[in-house]
Amino acid sequence: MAVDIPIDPYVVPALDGVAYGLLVFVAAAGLVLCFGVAGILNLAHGTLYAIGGYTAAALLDGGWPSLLLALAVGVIAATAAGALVAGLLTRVAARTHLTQALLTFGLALVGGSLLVRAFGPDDQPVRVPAALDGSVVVAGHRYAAYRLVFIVVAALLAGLLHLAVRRTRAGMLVRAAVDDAEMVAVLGVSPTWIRVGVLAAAGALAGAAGVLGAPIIGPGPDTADVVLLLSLVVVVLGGLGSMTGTLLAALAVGQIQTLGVALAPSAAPFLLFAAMAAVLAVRARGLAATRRTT
Amino acid sequence: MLRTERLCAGYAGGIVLHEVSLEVAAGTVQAVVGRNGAGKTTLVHAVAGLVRPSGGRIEIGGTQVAGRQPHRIARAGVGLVPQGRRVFSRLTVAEHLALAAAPWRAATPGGEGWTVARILELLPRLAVRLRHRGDQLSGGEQQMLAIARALLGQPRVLLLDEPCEGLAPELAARIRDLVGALARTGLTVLLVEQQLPHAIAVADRIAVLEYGRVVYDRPADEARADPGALAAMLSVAAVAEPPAPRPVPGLWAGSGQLTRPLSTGMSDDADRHP
Repeated sequence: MAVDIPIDPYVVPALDGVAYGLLVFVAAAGLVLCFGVAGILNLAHGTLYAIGGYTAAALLDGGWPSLLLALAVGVIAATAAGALVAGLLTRVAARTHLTQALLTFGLALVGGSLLVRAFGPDDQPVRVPAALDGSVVVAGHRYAAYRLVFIVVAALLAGLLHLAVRRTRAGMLVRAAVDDAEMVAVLGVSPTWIRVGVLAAAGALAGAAGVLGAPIIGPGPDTADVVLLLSLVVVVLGGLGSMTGTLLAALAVGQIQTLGVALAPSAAPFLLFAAMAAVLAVRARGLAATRRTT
Repeated sequence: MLRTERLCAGYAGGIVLHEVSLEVAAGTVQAVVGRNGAGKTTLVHAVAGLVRPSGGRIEIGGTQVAGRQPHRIARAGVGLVPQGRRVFSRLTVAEHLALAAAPWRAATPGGEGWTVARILELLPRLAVRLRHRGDQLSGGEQQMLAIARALLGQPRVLLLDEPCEGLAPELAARIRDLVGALARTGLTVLLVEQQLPHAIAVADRIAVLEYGRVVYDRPADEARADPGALAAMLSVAAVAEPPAPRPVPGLWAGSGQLTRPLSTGMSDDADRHP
């Protein structure tokens, strides 16, 4: 017996899912690169996003210049923080993931405390540019203009990231290192610089996501934890070193968090992790099912 | 050009190389033969920096490099063609060549150096496979690519770990010809081989490793004059008792320029079977 589910009420949650998924993709892509390329489990990754988010809260005043300024400052600050994490990891880079996790978890605690001390214990309001502060009509529904623009911008960022991985020398290094990091070193490329570069790039991506995504996942005491958790889910679902897998996983997470919750509100608390467990049970290496960066 | 002196190296389980001393002159091929587990790959990895020596010296052109990280040893002029080729499966041939072309050596004064164009002239089969990924190449093509990748780093010393392994006899012969031609350009070659005929065919000098120790190191002409003696020696080595294992002290961590044209015949009739 066919079940007749009206589509119309779910247009907005589905769009929200795309926005949420793309935000999670930009935020999680750096974590995937860190793990896949440098073998680093960076539990401070959510804090890099939070740096961007708090920067947005501090600098956005409803104008376009402030958005550009916040983007520049947030990206630079998060990039520097990523490079700092890489520097602090130098001595434990060759050790187990548990050692790395302990160090970066400590850094996340310190970073979170510093941000709360600087900005206070409450969630911070974020002002989007006035021109995007309204709503537009999509398929007969009113939808936040900023989110619609964010979908376009995040898709562009995803495209740029794809091009960078596929077309640049740095991207070649990333793909080669995912495949065989030892052989990359034998070519004369310092593993330390790869690690610093990847963590700094991860910081830049997380910082950009933090600024642009602040109206969606806003800055607050729990922001770093939420973003880290979502990113880890994406890593598990998408597989290591696979940008295609990361994108698919992030979009799936977005839909589960919005459309899934709208369809099955009573399952909301565990829907995401149930989906993760189901994927792991069927495809243990993630949705992409191959260890590659594409 | 390459000198090891009382080199000791191994893994967490114990020492594999026991005071290995070799001296390879510039422009010559030193073959190292031995059975499985004799320590051949460990020797190559120790020189390349992939295994940290626990004792002894490794000199490249008089510079001590033992204990340096692999990328520093590569920049000191050591190229590695590893066992099993280890090409990057998801990179195309063109990307391999672009990545391997060493930018830090591009401005090296004197000599032509290896360029992508010269590599493709030497190994024309790669030119028609530029858009194919490493995992789409045949074994012979992967071996050519591994050699090309190493040469583009402008090495003075080339380490080859069983380059003929798994190749058809005709292609293996051509790889040997290529190794000989490279040595004639002034490149110093350390060739590790399990198959004695491959080593005898191309080497200027042959050493035998037995349980991590050099038990024979003489000019290859002697082996060519009486190959049966060396083969018998390898056979004897196969049944000799291994030395008692010793614990590893300390912690364990886990350009020649072309002076004349090369003609190798490594062209488009390479094997085509993945």
